Amino acid sequence: MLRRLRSQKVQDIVTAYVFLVPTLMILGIFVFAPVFYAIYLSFFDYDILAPQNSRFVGLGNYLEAFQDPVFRKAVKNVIYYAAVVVPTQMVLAFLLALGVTSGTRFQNFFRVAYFIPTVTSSVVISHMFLYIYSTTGLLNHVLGWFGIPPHNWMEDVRTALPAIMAMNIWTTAGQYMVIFTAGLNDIPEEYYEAAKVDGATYWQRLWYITLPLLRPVTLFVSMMSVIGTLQLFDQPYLMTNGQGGPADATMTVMLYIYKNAFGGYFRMGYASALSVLLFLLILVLSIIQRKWFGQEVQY
Amino acid sequence: MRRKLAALFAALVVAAATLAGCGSKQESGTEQTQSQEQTGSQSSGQEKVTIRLTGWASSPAETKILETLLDGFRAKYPNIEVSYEPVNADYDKKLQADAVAGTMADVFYMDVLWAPDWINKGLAIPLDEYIQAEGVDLSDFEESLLRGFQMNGKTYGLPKGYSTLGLFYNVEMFEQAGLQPPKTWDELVETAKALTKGDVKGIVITPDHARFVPFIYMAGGKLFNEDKTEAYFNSPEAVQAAEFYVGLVTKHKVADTPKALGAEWAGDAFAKGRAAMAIEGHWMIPFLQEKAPDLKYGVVELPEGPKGRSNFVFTVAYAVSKDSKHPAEAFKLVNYLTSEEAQRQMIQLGLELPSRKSVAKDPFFADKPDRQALIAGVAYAIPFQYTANHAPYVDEFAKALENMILNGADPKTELDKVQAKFEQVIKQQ
Repeated sequence: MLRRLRSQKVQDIVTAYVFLVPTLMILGIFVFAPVFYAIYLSFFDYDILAPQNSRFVGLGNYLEAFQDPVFRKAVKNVIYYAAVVVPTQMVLAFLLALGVTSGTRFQNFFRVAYFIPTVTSSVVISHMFLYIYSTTGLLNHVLGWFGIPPHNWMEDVRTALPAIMAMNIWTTAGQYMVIFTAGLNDIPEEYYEAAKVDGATYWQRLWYITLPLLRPVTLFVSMMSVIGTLQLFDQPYLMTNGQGGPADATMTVMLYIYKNAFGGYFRMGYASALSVLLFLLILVLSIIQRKWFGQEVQY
Repeated sequence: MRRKLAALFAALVVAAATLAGCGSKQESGTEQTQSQEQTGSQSSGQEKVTIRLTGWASSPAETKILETLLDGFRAKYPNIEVSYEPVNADYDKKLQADAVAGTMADVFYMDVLWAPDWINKGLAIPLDEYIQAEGVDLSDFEESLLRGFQMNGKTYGLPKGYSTLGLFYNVEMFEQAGLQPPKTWDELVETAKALTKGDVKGIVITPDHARFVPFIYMAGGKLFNEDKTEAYFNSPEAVQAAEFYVGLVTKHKVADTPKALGAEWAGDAFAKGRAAMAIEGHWMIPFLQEKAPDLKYGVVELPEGPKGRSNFVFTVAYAVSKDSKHPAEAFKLVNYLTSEEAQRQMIQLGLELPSRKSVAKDPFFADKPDRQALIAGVAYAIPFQYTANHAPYVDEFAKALENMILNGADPKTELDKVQAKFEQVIKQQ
């Protein structure tokens, strides 16, 4: 009897693995293998067009990265970018979510309206904003009504990155709004009713019921938002002809990795090392966030 | 039990299918190369050989005329079939990926800027033996074009056409101000001053090394020594050139960047009448025809600097790839596309200037002073080219120009950075 059970179990395991094989193969070929190969390459000076000349440099690529002014500037840029975009976008998304769940009229219209930028291609949005930000564009036109002289937003090192920030907050706030909306709808109505009976004000209900119970959602949103902002690539690539200009003002880590790997620098090894460093940065920040928002709240 | 077995079997089938899917692609790939090799050995016979041609497609009109040329080639060489595979965007990335995979087209466009890298990394093969076999007269090609594709005494590509830079000026604005196009740096400043009025700037200046470098040569400087082992980005002449070029925007305030003028690029600003002059190339001519057909413009050679004239020449060559199984046939195509008769057809389209001196004398150019001004520049031009592995320090160069023009940074400090980057890159090689 026992033996039969055991053989049954072995069979189950074997069957499970056989079913997993196709998925594991695809993941292995297109995800795991490249990841490990990138880590391996990060210890080499490797040119994809001349692989025969590759040589082992140990931690050389990593040491160089810490002294590379462009990489340091790129890291500074994405951290500045994340520091502004993540909180703004989360607060905005949360307020929008409160708005579209409050039961006002045309609620569904607003849900769709706020979500449209998220489903629009970043290429389209980037080009649209290039027109808005151009010297003769919409933004300067509107500012002109208040007597503000036109400004060359994308060619000024002080305003180029904030211009992309504003655009990205507008684009992704809708996406996180949807997630917050789902979270808000998950909070049982009874808590609010009980609190109302006890005489809690709207703000008290928001502070003591909504926010604590939204914690897992907030953690998810903040993690996705931090990862997304640190990996910023397409908007600066599209809006600065792939240069991260003016003068590195919009250079991001991803853009610099791309330039090293495919942009004519012929330095796949160095690009791999930079990718590993970006991965570590994201990992550390994600762990910190889990510590902050991680505890589950139970009532 | 039976159901379990059936499930197991189903899973195995899926797995096997996936495996087979991966495998069969490789197999068919090797079959293809084998069959190519076979035809290669029989190419002297009646067997048809297929030559793949790739390049970027700048316009549907160009693709169309190229197809017409290819029909002429097919008629002339019935044994050689040509398949044209244009790439619409990120050509250099596509080509480099093909090179790694070993699937490069037989004949490909090689931009003069990328030539040192691509030749250095063995993407293009030397063509000398085929040039001899086909009896091509290299002396008919403009020297400054050919030089961009020659390395260590070998020729790696035949230029298909080119453009130099010229000074485009708005005839109406000049007539109203009673001015003549400037011939020297000083005249350029004076003219631009006289033309800067209200929203219109005298000249549109791009923060781009592709426009700026000739000014270094006009000031008597140069970028590299003969074998390009040393660079002089921060020489006093280069600083002088930067002070002049950047000074048009920052000191004299007679110029601005295209974006500051609300335009995409210099040609756009010029077409919109926001600047009276622009430094651009032959590509401006079709662009203005389409975007501003009523705009009356003229073209003159770039103004002379304190130490004479200079110019950049932008050119593209047809090259034969390392992966070609039929280099001799591939070169026949290169030779045909750069031949006198092909170029005489190509110039009618007005996309670029012909790389052959004999074609430049074609009556087509006789009544076109705008094109003649650009042709005149090729005599003293240098190829738009740096060294192998140029991208890191040329990016630094672009940033330096942006910093100088947009931030008012000091030219010497900025050019020192470019020089430092060059030395770092060269040391890594």
